[in-house]
Amino acid sequence: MLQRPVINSSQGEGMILSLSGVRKGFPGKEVLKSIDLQVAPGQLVALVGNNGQGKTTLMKLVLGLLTPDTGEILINGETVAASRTTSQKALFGYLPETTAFYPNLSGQETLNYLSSLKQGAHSRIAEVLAIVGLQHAAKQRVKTYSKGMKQRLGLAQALLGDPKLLLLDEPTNGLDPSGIHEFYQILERLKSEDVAILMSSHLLAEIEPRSDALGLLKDGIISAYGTVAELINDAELPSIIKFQKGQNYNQQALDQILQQHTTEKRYIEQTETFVLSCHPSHKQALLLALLTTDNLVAKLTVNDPGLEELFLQLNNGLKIT
Amino acid sequence: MSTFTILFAIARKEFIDHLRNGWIIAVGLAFAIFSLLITFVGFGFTGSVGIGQEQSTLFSLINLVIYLVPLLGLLLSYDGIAGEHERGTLDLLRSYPFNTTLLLYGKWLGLFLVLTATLIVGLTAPAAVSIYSGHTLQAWTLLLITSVWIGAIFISIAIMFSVLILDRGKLIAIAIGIWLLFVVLFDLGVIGILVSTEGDVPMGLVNLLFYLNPTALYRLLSIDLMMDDAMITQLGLMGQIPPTPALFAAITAWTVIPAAIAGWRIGALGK
Repeated sequence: MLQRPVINSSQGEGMILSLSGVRKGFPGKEVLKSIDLQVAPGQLVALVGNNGQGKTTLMKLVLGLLTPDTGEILINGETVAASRTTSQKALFGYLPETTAFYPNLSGQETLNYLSSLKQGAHSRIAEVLAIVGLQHAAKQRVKTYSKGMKQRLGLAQALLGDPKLLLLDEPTNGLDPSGIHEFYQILERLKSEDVAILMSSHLLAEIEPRSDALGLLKDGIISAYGTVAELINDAELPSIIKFQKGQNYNQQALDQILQQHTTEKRYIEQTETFVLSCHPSHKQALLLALLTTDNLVAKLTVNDPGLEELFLQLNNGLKIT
Repeated sequence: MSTFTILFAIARKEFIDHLRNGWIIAVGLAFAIFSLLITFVGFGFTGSVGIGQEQSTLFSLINLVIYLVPLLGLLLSYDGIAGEHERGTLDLLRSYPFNTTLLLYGKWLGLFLVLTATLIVGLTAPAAVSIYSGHTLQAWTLLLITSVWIGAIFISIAIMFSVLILDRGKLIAIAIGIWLLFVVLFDLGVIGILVSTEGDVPMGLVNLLFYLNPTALYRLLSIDLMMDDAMITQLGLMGQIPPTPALFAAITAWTVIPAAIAGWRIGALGK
């Protein structure tokens, strides 16, 4: 289990959000045992984990929709009570996992209504509609919206009121690939404006290149935390090297190279193709040896481990070989 | 952003939502048809065809209100908060920078306006017919006010259960159950007691039973406010109706207490 420190500064200094030892249980189930987490301005922290691991619960605790059994939550460096004050709530932009909104109102009317409840955020309605690309459908009733359009409307309402901390629960559910691309462009822009983002997602390929830090929720704790590169490095996941026999292929020469450069060597001969599982510390030397031996191998490809492999290993204990 | 701005924004949204889904028009027209039928045909007291005496028409309409308006209030409001919960907007709105109890009272106000508009639609036609026939506007105004009030009581009751239960499936059954209890079963129970004791029941106990049922209070208050002495005597209620301030206090309590419980509960959600 990876134990990279999640809290780096005392008392959440400089952090928009800081959780320390937060525990939350429901009758018959302890969902979160002890959560330590910090989110800095301009940072995108992604929470991953199987269903039921407490990602939504964690967000609700931050928002004050649930009260922690124990532990401390700091917002902007200040410890918060069980209920959030109006000024604390004004810092949040929240997109719940599923929001159906009001079918008989148009998108524009929905945002008008919600901005009335968000401390006079009317001035930003046109802007957020443009950001999420819903200007053309602003006058349509929400009941005519596709799932993706409703998700965009959800994001639009989260952006009302100039939030400093966005809490996004499975935000790209229902978005098509171009919508997802645009969505992350929006997040990049917000990050550049120092907006902090805490989001949960099952779509690992999506968040891998975009998150500044990733926390794996498992068994009530954040069992792994760091950048994707750090976590993969710490987990020592193997790279997969595939190649075909070269013109001068020689079994003895290959065995010798594998013996020299890998401690966990394993190869499968699939007629003309070999698949090697290689420890990261040996990868560079092994590749050098394979490629500098005259025509020993051909068509060599290297697949480095990604977040999906990391997730499977950390979350389910599946060994990637 | 003032409390009232938020309150009225929520009420306005609720009103527009129900206006657009056709609720006000459909139910208002249905109510108008029933009340026009009563106005024209009349039943019970006069047995006459045509526009009967104003008193007996009003009494018949009071009975119509007792049957329909509590049901309207309950059906209009049972999913007021539970619906937000199921749509996923309850948690969203609870995260917004305003006191969550305003959501409840804004909704209450919006539903109250929807019910008022529905009853105005429903009672305008018979009132116009009656006034055209030479009767006064006063009694119809009182009928509208008391009808809206009994509706408001059931909005409060439904909203309270909506916050407490947060499950639309259960709430629709509860709404029907409440209507049956207060509108049908309660009267049957009282009649049962009177029959089994051959009417030998202390008046204090009968009054206490009235206070336990908002529809009974509404009936007594409406009779007290709208019926003349001859009609009250004919109904066998002369000297039996509790004092008017006591009736007002009781229906106020029935309106305020469930709404207050709902307000407390919505503030305590998640705690």
